[in-house]
Amino acid sequence: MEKKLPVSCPSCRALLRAKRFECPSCKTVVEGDFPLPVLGRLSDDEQVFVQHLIKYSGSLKDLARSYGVSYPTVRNRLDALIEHIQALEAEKPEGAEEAGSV
Amino acid sequence: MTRETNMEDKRPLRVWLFNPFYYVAGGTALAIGLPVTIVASLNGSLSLSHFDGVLDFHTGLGTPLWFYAVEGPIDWLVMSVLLLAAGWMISKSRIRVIDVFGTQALARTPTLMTALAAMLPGYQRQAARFAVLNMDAHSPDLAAFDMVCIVTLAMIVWMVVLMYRAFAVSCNVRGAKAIVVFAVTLLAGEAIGRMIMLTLLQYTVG
Repeated sequence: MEKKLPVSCPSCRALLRAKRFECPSCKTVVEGDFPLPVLGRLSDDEQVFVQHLIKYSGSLKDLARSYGVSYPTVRNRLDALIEHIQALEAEKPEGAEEAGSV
Repeated sequence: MTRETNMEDKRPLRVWLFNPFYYVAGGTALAIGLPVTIVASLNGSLSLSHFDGVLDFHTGLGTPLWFYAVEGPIDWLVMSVLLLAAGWMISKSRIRVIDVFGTQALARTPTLMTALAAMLPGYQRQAARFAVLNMDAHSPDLAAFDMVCIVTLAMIVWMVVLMYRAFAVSCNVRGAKAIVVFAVTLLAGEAIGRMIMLTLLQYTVG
């Protein structure tokens, strides 16, 4: 089963933050309080859309053909995504300046 | 190229009927919609029926063939130009002219059903009676006439829904503002379309 990175709290829908990273090889652990990057805070569908857009060299025409939808449908989806990214960028992540520890 | 799946709609029939622009727009929509609009318009010559306004359908007046042929395209052009201007005013998106003109052409395809329904002989006989103010309440053709009126009304409603969806998709607008702007544009289009038709008619039949 493919695991998905959870970006929001299943209880209150607030954005989650990364507290702990671990090296799978030497087991070194990095702990701190790290906000997820903007692209990481997008929904699964939005992340897949961005992935496909890059895969098709940014060509909305090719992307529309691959999805089997019209050009304006894809362009409207992209416009909504741009709005969402702008909103996420405008949000000031709490405690972003806090350093992590090893 | 593989087909991606996360934008597939779960109700494709409903989408095809009321928002085909989700799948088809631009040049493809124009290539389907414009010939259908012209055929529907020309088909009117067989039943003396006219699409003489963005939302109009009238039967009974004979005109030269070219007049039938230009009616549908004039309706389409008037609405496309007005909705493009409206889109430029209220949309934040980059609008492709071909999307507005193409989707508006496709939105007029229900006119073909109206044109075909008007070929029903009973409807034509009854329309001819009404034209000479024969109001016989027991005419055997009243049922056919009523049926064509109901079909025409349903097709006009369907066409308006399609025209709005075409506007929404091609200009990326939605909500109350989009509905109000569309309604005002539709009324303006109806008035301008009628004016153009009446002017043309004046020069055609005197």
